[in-house]
Amino acid sequence: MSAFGHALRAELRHLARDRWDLAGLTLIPALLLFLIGAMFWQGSLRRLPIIVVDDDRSAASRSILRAIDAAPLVRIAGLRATEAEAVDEIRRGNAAGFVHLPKDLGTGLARHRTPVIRILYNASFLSSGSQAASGAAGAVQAAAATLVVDQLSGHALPPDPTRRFAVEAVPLNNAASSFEWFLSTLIYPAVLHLVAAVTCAMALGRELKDRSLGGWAARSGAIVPALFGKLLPYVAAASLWGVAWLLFVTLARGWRVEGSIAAIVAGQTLFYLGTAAISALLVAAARETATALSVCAVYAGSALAYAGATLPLNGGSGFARFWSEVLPLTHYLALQTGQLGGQDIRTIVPPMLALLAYVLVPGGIAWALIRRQAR
Amino acid sequence: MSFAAAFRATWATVLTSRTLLSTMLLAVVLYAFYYPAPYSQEVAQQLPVVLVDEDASALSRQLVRDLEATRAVVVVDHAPSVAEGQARLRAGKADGVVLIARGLQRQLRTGAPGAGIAIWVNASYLLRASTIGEAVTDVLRHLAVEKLDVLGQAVRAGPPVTIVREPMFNPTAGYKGYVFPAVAIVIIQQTLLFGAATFVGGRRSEGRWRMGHAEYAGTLAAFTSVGLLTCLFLFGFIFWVQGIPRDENVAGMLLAAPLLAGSVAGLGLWLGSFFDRSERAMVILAPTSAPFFFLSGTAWPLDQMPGFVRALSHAIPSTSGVHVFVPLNQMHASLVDVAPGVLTLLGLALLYGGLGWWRIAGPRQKRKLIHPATKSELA
Repeated sequence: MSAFGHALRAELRHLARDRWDLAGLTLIPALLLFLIGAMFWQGSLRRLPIIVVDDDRSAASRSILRAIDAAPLVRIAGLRATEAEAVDEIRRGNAAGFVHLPKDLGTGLARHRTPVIRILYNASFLSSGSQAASGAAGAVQAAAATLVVDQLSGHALPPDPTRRFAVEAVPLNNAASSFEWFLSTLIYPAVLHLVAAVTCAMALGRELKDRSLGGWAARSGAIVPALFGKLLPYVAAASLWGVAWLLFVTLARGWRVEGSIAAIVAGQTLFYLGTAAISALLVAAARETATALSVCAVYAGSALAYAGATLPLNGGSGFARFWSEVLPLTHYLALQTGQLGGQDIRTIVPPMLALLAYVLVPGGIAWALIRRQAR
Repeated sequence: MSFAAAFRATWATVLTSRTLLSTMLLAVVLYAFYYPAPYSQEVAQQLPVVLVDEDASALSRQLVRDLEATRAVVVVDHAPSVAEGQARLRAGKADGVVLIARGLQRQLRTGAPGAGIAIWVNASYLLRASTIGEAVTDVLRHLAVEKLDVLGQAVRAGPPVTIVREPMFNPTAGYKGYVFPAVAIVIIQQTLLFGAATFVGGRRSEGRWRMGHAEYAGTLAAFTSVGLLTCLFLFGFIFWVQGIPRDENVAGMLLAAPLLAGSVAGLGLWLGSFFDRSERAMVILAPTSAPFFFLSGTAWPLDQMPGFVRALSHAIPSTSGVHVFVPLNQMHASLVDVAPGVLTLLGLALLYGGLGWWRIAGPRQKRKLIHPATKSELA
């Protein structure tokens, strides 16, 4: 039997015996992917709680209150008499922010004094805070404009000249500004990346004898086919979980991949293959499983922060931009996000080449190290 | 083994085992600098956009100059038509296309409708899309006010209200001040969890994981104190070094920190007692870090999750940890403000500490001690 087939069969036999190793590529990713999918089930943010401090208590302020509560993004969680009480509610986590309606709001609107409405939001929880502030601001703006028209019913409303210019934003892909689409498609490759990294390191680490892979290499015949055969179940498992996720978001959740699904599938297989190569290198270099696992947890566990997919790294520190290019997840996410959003198929070439480099370079060094240990 | 002896022995193991030392202490120091680095620029900036200027007027040129002057966008290219602009968006050369439609200048002077500005953004990157949209809207609005002033048209009929949005607790609304205080909790949890589980997993592979009551209590206390140390290091020292916005309730944090550390230490010892070898802890638990961060409700609030996910997330100490320590460290909350979270942590500390005790030192396990462990249990 070839070295590849032999190593693959030995690994599959081991997986059938060892329930923990099997759980590492079945139960654990299943559980984590299920939680991620369930977490974002709702899709977009809705009805974020905010507090209103109404110092005006007029018909005008009441109609602004109604407008805020009717806005889809926010709901009024309560009215408080002072700003200090409103801040307490935010500290307790009962609200994402508060709107302060000033005294004389109604008369100010009628006389066109441009009253100032303050919206304070919790920036320690920035995503919900800023979304709540945007939702409330939109509702207040619209309600105030309507109020002016109503109050000046006998008059013609002087058009707001600054509104002559309309800005129309057309979001391509993700029209609903869905966090589900945005975040979950970033998290699942990051999780599978880490799953592939640690399970591959563990699998190869099992073959260490006296801090050397030499014995395993000698037994298995050719090193490269044996490595492929040994790590194939783990690469295949991560890739299949990735395909399952793509099927889930498209078929079950109704999202559309504007670009090529085939390119994404090919890209993630290459990505997990590169991850396996890096793990092989780490085990061969550290000659010890625990250290290789720790390095995996550090580099793959925080790769999402360096991918520039949430906060772009433009203008970031030199180290962060450099390290972001070193990490494989950055290149895979560039490919995936591009294809999800309908970029040209040609744009997959640079990330594909980068991902191929993770297979060849760490894989090559791992091969050289193992060969030396086998001598 | 007595409580004090177990406490000392555990600390000695943590300090002398290369794996435990690097997982529990060195990793925290590394993360303290490694994690904030990609957020140092704080906001989305210098996003590349392609401009399509159909108007080619003094106004549109001014608009481009003003757009270039913002921090948010960089005009990387001019395209002759929207189709070509979008082609560059599809080619991955830009994050957005800005069209200045023909007749914008005329519209400004006469009020004739028809022109305007359109933006196409790739909304798969949510933050990039909203940043570009806001930057263009702001520039245009300011320019309109400025130009209308010159034209003598800036009558008092401006917008009916002025809305001022102010960020609280994180005054620049920066990303580092938002992400890192919450990530710090997850770092504290995961390093302690990995360490405690690795410790027990390793002892189990040697067949000596069961302990007496005092020994278990001493071990739990030692791991709790390691967690406490990382809490103090991150909350006290690193937040200051990294310039994280903070408004601390130090007494409250000191009272709550042992509950977080204790619940995680208990969870780690309990989970570790199921693992057949020390490395297993990392393989099984490492992939949970990113999901645990998102389950804490930092990026996607807990009240937006389905009920069973929310309930499940509260079984993870970092979830209550985030909602206790971010308010205590960043928002100057009182212990009363964060009481529900503190009580949850207390409950988790009792639950996981108790489960760990029942597994490792409980009476059921004592009976088993009489029979030597079978070979498969030791493997």
